[in-house]
Amino acid sequence: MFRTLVLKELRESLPIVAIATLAIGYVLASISWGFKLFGSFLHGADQVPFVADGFAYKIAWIGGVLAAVLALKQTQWEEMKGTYRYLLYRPVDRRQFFLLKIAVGLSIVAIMMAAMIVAYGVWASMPGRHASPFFWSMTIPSWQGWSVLPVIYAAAFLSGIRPARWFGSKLLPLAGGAVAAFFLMVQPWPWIAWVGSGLLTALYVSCGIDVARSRDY
Amino acid sequence: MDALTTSRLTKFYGARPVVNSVNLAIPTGCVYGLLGRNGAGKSTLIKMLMGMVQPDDGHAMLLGHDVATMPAEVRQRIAYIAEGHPLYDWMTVQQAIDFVAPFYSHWNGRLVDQIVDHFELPRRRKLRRLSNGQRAQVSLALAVAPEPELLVLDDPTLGLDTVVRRDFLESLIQIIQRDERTILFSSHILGDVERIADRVGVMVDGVLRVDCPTDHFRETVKLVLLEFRGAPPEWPGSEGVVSARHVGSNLELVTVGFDDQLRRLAESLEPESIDVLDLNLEDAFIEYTRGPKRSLPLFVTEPNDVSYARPQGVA
Repeated sequence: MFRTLVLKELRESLPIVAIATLAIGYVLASISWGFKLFGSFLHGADQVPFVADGFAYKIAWIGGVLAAVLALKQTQWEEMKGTYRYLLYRPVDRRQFFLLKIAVGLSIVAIMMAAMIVAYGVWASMPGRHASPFFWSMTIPSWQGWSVLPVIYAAAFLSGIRPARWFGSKLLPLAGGAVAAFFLMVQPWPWIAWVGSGLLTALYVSCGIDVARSRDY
Repeated sequence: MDALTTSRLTKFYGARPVVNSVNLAIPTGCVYGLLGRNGAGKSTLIKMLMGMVQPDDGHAMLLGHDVATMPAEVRQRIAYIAEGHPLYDWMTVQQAIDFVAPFYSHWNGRLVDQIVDHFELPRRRKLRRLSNGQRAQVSLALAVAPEPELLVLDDPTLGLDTVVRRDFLESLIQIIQRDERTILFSSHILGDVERIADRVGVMVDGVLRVDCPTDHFRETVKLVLLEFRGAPPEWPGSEGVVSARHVGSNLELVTVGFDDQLRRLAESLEPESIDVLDLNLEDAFIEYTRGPKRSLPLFVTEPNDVSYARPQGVA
């Protein structure tokens, strides 16, 4: 039963995952091999990997957009298609169902963006790739950026699941989550980002589950 | 035992009660047709029964369990077909079956195969490529496969052409006859209700105004034609009259029953003639619901059961 729900979530996320994979591939190609198609924001082949190439911001931007779009898709798509009425009366606890949805979404974001960091790290660790030393500890700021993505995902999930009179007020949790994620990312202590992200994500998820259980469909 | 009961079930949208203190009891094995015009509150009532909408007041019991706290094991015994047959369009027919089956411990795969074969549904075709009728047939197959004791259908034949609708209903009748299943379904199509419902409920502006056996409703609501030589007089107003309107030189009354008291009152207006016409269910429903919003309540209880005769619409 849970397997079938996980497969359904993965299948429905496929278009967004495909677009995100293309974006990640392009960014990695541009900063690793200098492949250029767009403006300077995505590039950095001539700079020090992870230290002076703004990679942490790239992680935050791509991951943030992926997290927000995926969470909104997971919630709004079912709403628009009316499939909540097909799904939610099935003999599964509603809390379990939405937790599973969130777990799949968070896993997709976390795995994809972690893969992006690891792939770039592996490239940077190979001899002859760039004219600067490389230590894996240099990736910590990128992991700090990665660690705030669950806040954005959970905030977007809450935005998508909560009923609101108009789109602006519906997106308020996402706006709040994005601001909080930004401050957690730019402050200098990684552990504060990790702890803060964990707490905020838990708060947003519990609010989202509470709304999902009690709202009308 | 009642398969479904509601007590003072109420839902407000803003300040307006869309379902107003509905008390309903459907005995096990009954096929109950819920009627009402658009916006009468049928879908909201059904959504509350299925836990999709939270009531503002009152509660509902399905198979003896409160909807708000119903465990998953009980929900295995209840099936629901939502209005419009929502399905995952990207799935094929077979994928939809494979998706739903693991949720249920009693999944009758043979029955699904029978229904799919009977309707000649293409198993490998995406649901988005099916016609409305085929989607309804897939919904029906998925709903009955767990062999539910209670089947709730929200306007299941909406948008289907006559032939498909007839096929759908005949399949439904066969399924009903297999076991003593309880079915609650809402519909706009009175012929469908007439064909399969033992009992009807009519909702008017969120209030359950009628809850009685189908035949009783049909036999009780009468159209009374009072013919006058000139312009007809105003109807003085009385209990038992749903609406009164002038049509040429006639005064047309829609009544719930036409007893001696009403006859005497009609005769006191000195009409040329009084004709009392029986109505079919569709005419009875139309006459009952289209008039001024003061249709009379019509509740009939079984002699040994007083649970139906409860106040409605007092929220």
